[in-house]
Amino acid sequence: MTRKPYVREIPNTWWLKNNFYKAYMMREISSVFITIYSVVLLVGFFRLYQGPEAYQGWLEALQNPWSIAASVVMLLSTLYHSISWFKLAPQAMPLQFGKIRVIPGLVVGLHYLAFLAILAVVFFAISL
Amino acid sequence: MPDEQFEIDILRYRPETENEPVMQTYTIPYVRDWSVLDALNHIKDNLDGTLSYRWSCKMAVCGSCGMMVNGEPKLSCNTFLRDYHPGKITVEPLAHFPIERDLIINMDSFMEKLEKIKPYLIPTEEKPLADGEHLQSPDELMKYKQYSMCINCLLCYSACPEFGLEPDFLGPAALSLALRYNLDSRDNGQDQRTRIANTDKGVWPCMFVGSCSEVCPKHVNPASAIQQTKITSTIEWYKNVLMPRGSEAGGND
Repeated sequence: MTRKPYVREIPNTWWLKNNFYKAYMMREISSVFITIYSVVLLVGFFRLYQGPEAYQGWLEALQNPWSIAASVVMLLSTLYHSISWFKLAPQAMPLQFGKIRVIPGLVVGLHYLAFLAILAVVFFAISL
Repeated sequence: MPDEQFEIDILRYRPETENEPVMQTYTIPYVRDWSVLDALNHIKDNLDGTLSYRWSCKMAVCGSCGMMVNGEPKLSCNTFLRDYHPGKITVEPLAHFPIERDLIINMDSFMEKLEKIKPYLIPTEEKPLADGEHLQSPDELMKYKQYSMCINCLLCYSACPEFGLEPDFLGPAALSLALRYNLDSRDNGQDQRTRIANTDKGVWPCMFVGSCSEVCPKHVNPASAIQQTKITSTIEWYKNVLMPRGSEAGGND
């Protein structure tokens, strides 16, 4: 019997094959936008340290139309990132206490609850 | 009533005469009950006896008949023509494995990986037969039962892009089996298996794409198994670094 196993190449566009892979790539790419936004925030902290004029300059830079458009993109990226990871959280931590298995929905729900609680704290702190 | 027809494209490969796989189209009668496996059997019995493929139980428990149907890894016995009709289907061998002939792939690398993770009970100490059986409660069984349902069909490996890009990755099924034994109350081999899983070809190539769990016909949820193993591996690593055990040489890896 002639054996000549044929190995198929994986193209760089493998992730375009179906929606599941595309959604995964979007999740991964969202990290890039989150990193960029973190840098923007760090710059803001630095400007705050540099004094009121520098901080004012940073605030104004954020208000031009391009910055606002970029912020919208970064916000949507961050939300997509968080929602997709919250959805996956029960898979990383299947909880079972004796006979009782914690339903995945509860784990996801607690994540959102914590998210909203932290959001509330941050808004409260900013409004002070 | 005219008999309806159905078209199937199958990726053929005959190593003795070809250098590359070739697509071949077959036209078969459309029977509403038929699975893709029934279609393949019809082709082999009536149209082309040279078509080669694996199958056995016809009921999604043996794991033999895995193949790509319209680009998705499926069990041919569990995939039905009526879900694609009207239309046509393209059948190819399981992705990410070398093709031996037609729809038959080489799974030697997977068999090696299964052996690597020590798929057997490693008890604390050997119990003499006279002592009787290991006793296990239903709760203890529930902890690992899901991960024991794997039928080694390799659909998860075909779905996993990381395995496609890194063929040495242990992969979803092997790591699920490792967790099945780690979670078994009768077993005490976690350390040995964690050492194998906690490597750059162990759990760490996994990027939690999650398509392995999407395609698993037995709902084993290998993605969950791997993430759990990542957590325990990381905790073990920190334990070894912060509290190196005297019996292990230095605690340096």
